[in-house]
Amino acid sequence: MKTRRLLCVFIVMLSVAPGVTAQANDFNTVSEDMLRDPPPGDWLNWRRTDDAWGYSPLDQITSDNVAQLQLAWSWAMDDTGGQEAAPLVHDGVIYLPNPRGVIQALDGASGDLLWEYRPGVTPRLDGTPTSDNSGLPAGAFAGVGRGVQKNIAIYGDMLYAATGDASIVAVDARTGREVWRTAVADPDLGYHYVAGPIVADGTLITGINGCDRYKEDVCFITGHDPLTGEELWRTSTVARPGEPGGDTWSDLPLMFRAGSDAWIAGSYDAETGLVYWATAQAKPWARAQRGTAGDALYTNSSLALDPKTGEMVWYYQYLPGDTHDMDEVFESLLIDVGGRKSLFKMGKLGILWQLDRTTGEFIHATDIGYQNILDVDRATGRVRYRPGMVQELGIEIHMCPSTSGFKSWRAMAYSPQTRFLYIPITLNCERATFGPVDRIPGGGGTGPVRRINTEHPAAEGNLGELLVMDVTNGEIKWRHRTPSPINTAALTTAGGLVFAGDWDRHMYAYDAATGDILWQTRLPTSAQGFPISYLADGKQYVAMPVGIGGASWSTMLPNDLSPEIRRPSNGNSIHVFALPKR
Amino acid sequence: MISRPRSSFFVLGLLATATACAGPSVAQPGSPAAQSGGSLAESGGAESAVGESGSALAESVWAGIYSQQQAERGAAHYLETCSSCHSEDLRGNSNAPSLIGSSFMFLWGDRSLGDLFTSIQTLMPTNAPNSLPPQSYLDILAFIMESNGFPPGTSELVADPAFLGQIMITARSGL
Ligand code: HEC
Repeated sequence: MKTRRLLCVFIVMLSVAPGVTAQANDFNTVSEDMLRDPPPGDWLNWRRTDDAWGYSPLDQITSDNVAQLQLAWSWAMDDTGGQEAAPLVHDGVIYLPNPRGVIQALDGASGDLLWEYRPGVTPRLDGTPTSDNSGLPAGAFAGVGRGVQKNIAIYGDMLYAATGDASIVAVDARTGREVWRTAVADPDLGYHYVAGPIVADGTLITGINGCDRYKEDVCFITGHDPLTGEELWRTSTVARPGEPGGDTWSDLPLMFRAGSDAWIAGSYDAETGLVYWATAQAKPWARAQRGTAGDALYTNSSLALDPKTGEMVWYYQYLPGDTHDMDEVFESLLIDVGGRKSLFKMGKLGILWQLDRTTGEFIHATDIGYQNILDVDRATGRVRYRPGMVQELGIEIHMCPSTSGFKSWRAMAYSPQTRFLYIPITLNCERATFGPVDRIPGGGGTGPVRRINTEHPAAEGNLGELLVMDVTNGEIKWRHRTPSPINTAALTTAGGLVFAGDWDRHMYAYDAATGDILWQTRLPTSAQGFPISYLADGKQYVAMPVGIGGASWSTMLPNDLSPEIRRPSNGNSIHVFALPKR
Repeated sequence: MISRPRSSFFVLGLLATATACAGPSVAQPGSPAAQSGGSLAESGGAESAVGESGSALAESVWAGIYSQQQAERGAAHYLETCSSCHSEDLRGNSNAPSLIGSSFMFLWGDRSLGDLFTSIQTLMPTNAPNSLPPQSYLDILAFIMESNGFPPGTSELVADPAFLGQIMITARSGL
């Protein structure tokens, strides 16, 4: 029934020019309540629910029948940029963020295109075009060139995206027509988005990226009115001189307080009324490059924000004065453990942090034991760098992980059935010699590092691992090692399953309790992005994004450490699996 | 028309290097004065031009080893293939290092042009290494030379490993 309607829409669409929108008539408006508690077949938030579990309550596909899973359809995506898509699904329609700001609405059962939003090259803040003959923006950074668009948000009748040129756009979810566009920051200064918004308490909230180079401004998170795009508040992720915490950058002027990018979308708890957003490391990466050994607030922290005002209700800094590019910016899982409303986070170091998400108090830290940089006090959370690890410029250190991290944007998932966390890991180390930066306007950046990638001593020739931990006690329950990195977020389902994929084109379905591989297949290039599960016409599907680009490490490490593994260097696409027709 | 790197930062950077420049120096922890500029252009190019490029005598990046036209071709390739990570003004982004100034000299000082060429060709762009024709990589190399203030000469860089391998990247003219 529904399929037929969608098909008709598609046929109508074909009769007009490509890129022109079609109307899906009976669109069900997405309410605040639906976002808080999505229908089982929908995937309304980048990790499906506010608590970022990455868990689908669907259970048609189970550990008993998953072996029969087969390809239902696949769809080639925009191949001009890095691909790390986190698709959304509402009423059987997939809203697929492609690289370079492209969004497509596809029939979830057939893959047929319903509409496409393709913004092309967009103007600067002052309205002048960013395009020259090269087709690239003329700004200093061209963050757009990398094109990553991780997640989008859905609310009301609208989709919301954050662009490579530092704008936020609203697109009509029924037609793909752009409704408003708000320029948030100047892309010529390096500002750009790679992560999209979330919607909390009626506010559209987004964190910016590209704050690495020296300029008279810092990174921030903004709240916008979803109807108009009007900016309601802006909260800096860096403590400015003279403000509380401002002395944690010594006496560096604002210009030289860089980093703290907010490049991963946050979580929300309607009960505490707080949005949880995390921040990246300070830049340049090393203390000696920055010229301060201070804590550098609010880098590598969790911030609890009031969604209405942006007020910072509490913060917790995991790594004061980080000096190795050890991001803690990644997803915040909200799980209640031992009667405590907790927030769980893991950064590049592979330390699982547990905070009280009402107060921001530290509860516990579990070091999975792969890193060699610091020691963490499990009772207080305080970290102490190991001797010699606060590096001097020009002096080589051997650090695990490398600047790529064990954990990165590939989000972990949680299953309420097992109470386990499923954590995608890249095993690696590096010999690193950090060098100086130019402390001038426009200078800074990450800082140069002479890097030699090395294998991790525990890896036994593997670069990847799906690591599974009991959230109640930090015990490791099982692990699946792979020659190439586990390169996707994890997906858990009520069918007792976990899905993930690796760089070497494998996609796996595991028994969530035991780790047995119950099904696997090969894909055209690396599994990359955020797998999801949804219903279309009453049937359960599992969708796996595939692609390349994005974080450079994900290509460099395998090329360097396991050169015998090859993959095509194109092939952005999405692959959708289902049980055979009965 | 080739569009040259230009941006607010690029201009700022030029102003600042013009005033704050010394040769590459190592910033000391905690010393806010550790300004290391990196405009090699100032540290001498003018006084020495060691013969024609391509000659067996040319052993330094100060000897005029690429041509202006080659650097211009390289700029176009750079904009298309590299600038999305290293920025139009070559100063890098949140992921990729600066290819000019003290960062470049830290990574490449006292190493050979041959090493740099091989490194760019086999590693860059990170998502599609070795995806350009060798000539394009050479042209980009010329552009990186130009951007770091090494003077152009009359003939072009060629993909001769023996030749590239003996040209050292040094902070000052001479060896
Ligand atoms: C997708 C992002 C990306 C693109 C595009 C890219 N680079 Fe890089 N580049 C990087 C990263 C990340 C590093 C740091 C590598 C490391 O530290 O291992 C790097 C490092 C370098 C280095 C220093 C290498 C070293 O070992 O010191 C050079 C030189 C370089 N790039 C040149 C280029 C050139 C020339 C191009 C275009 C042909 C290019 N890059 C395109 C991301 C990129």
